[in-house]
Amino acid sequence: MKKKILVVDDEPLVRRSLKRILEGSYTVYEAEDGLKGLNLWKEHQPDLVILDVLMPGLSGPQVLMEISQEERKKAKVVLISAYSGEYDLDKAKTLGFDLFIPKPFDDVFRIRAVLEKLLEQ
Amino acid sequence: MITKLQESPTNLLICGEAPQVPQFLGVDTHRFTHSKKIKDFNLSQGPLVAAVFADTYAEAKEFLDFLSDNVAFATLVLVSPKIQMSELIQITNQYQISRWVQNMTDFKSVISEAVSNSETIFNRGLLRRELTSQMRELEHLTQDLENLVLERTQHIETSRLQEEEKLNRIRNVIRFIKELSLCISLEEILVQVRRDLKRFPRLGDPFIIVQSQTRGLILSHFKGGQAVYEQREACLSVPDDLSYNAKELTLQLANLLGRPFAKTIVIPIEVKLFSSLIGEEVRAVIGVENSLSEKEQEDFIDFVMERLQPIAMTVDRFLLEEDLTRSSLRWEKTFDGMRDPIAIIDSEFNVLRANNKFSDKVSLGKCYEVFAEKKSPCENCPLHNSLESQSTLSETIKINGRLYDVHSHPIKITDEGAETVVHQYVDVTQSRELYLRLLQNEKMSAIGLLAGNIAHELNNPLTGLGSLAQILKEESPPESSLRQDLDEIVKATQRSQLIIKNLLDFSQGQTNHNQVISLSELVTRTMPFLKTVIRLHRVSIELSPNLDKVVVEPHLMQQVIFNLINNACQAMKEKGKLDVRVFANERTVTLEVQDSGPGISEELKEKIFEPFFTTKTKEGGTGLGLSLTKKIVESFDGKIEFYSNKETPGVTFRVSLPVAQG
Repeated sequence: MKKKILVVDDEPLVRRSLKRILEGSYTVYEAEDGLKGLNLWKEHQPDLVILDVLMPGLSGPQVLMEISQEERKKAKVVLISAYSGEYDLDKAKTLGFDLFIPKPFDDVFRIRAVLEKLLEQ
Repeated sequence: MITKLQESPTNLLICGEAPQVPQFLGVDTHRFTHSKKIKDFNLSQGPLVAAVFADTYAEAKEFLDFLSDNVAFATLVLVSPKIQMSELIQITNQYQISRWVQNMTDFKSVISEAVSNSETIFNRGLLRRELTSQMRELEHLTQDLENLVLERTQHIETSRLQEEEKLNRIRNVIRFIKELSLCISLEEILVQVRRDLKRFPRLGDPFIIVQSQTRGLILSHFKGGQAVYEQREACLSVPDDLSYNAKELTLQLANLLGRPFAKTIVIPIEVKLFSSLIGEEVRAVIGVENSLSEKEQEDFIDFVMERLQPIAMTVDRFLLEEDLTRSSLRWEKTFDGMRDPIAIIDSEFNVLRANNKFSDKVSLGKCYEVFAEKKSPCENCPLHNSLESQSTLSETIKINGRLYDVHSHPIKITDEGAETVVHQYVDVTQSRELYLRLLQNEKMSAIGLLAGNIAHELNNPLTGLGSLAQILKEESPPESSLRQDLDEIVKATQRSQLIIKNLLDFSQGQTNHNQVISLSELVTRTMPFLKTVIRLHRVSIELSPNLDKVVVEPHLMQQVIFNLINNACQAMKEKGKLDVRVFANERTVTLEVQDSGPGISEELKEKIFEPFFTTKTKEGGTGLGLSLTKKIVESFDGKIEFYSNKETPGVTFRVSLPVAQG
């Protein structure tokens, strides 16, 4: 059974490019805001959640606060952001994430490699 | 005439043994047989005729002796019929016999004649007496008159002397007043007074005391022969009446001045003007030690009283002047103590008065010459507008490289409009600089925030765009034009991402610490932000990216590059040529920015790095760009200069920075 990856980002092209590069090996779910992302997380119990920081509805760190400890432990979390001086990044750190990737991505294939490595751990 | 004079009747004395004699009209006849009986008879009344009856010298002699001894003006008739001639001669010689009668027949006529003669003689005598007495009276009168004239003359002489003396006294007082009027200090007044009092021996040196609540004790006296002026803390019991011996005061003075004081006369002097000026009672006295007698004291007091009014007026005038001078000095000190330059200026820009912050020169001219060192009034000077509107106006004016808020206050002394103003120059250079820096920082941080938001908004789609293009490129057939197109898209997104990153760096300047970086690299990063300003011009950029490492704070250095290129482009109103060069030797990395504009005029060359110097007032230039640039460069131990020459058009700015070591 394919591992499940949830991509939460309000930018369609980001979701689309990540889905495109990951869907061969993984089952990819997409959410365009934090609230939908939270629901999909609870519904599908993904192995990896790629979470944008600044989004309408709930922000990435807020999603992390909302999700239960049990569900949180089952998934690896990767924060992505176009804004390195991110609000709430410090708070997100205390909530725990496994990887931070700044946007823009230099090379999307390298991103895929990093994510694969993360899922194998 | 003569008969009328005599009041008593003629007396006829019949002397000796005489026969009966006839009566004569108006004649009292008296008979004397013996001479001794005659003495009971008052012989001095009226004329007298004596008829002596005698026949011998001896008989006659008895009566004649008596008569000649006792009666002065008697007419003597000798009746002697029998007398011998020799005796007759003897009698006649001895006595003043007027007639000799031999017989009685002649008697009557002789006696009548004698009576007549006698009356004449008597009357003559009376007349003479009268004349004599009148004469005497006249003499007395004359004498009296003479005495009177003499007395009058003496009186006139005395008054003349008195008048002269009085005049002299007045002259002396006038001279004294004149001398006083030339005195400009209390000491000089005292010296004059002493000189004037020299005529009195046994007199010490005078002193003057002025005492009041607010001004304390003013004392002028002689110390070692010199008149001195002192202000003391002490409070003396100064009498308010004339005192011949002011014991308490002399005791206090002796203590105060540390020397003995003799008996001292103290005379109050009135200083009305000074009293009314300071609004309180002032006690002033002139005093002098002395050993004068009581009489001399009176003379002395009279003498001083004549001069007291002038002395009082002079002392009053002096106190007034001194107080005015003092308060004017206080104003002047206040004026000079001000932090800001201040000047009183008339409508023609002439400086009437100024504090020493404004100018330390004594002679003053036009304000713009003295203070601003210009040949014409400063632009924006509020003076005329302030006088026109009769209200306080302010303008900010740049004077000698400093920025002043010039406040122009019209001075109204009368109801008519002010013709002069007080100019206060508040130096706002630093505060304005700080304010503009703050503004600049605010602006930069606003730009930073904006750039951050834009970067976020752009980076999101760029991330998707770039990633998707990379994926599609991988999936496209190799060597196909599709792959090449997709590759261009990938490169474009990467370029865009870099620009956004640089923009973020530039606007946020978050690094805040120096780092080793290539100057060429910084120029490259900065150029994209200048595209709009350089698009008109031909641009040539020569870089040397490998040998040009410098130690700078990148975002500040980018500001330097940005400012220099921006200025260069703005200097070229028409299409021109911009040259940007970076080159290096072992020690120095140099950035040159050259334009082909009109260049910099000689007079502006000195001011170009001054804060607030701008030629772009209308375009909203703050005049901070180049001064800030200079500061930044110098903070990196670099230097900035500019030059222009005839061969190359425009101006070249050159920034030299030390090469990064290691």
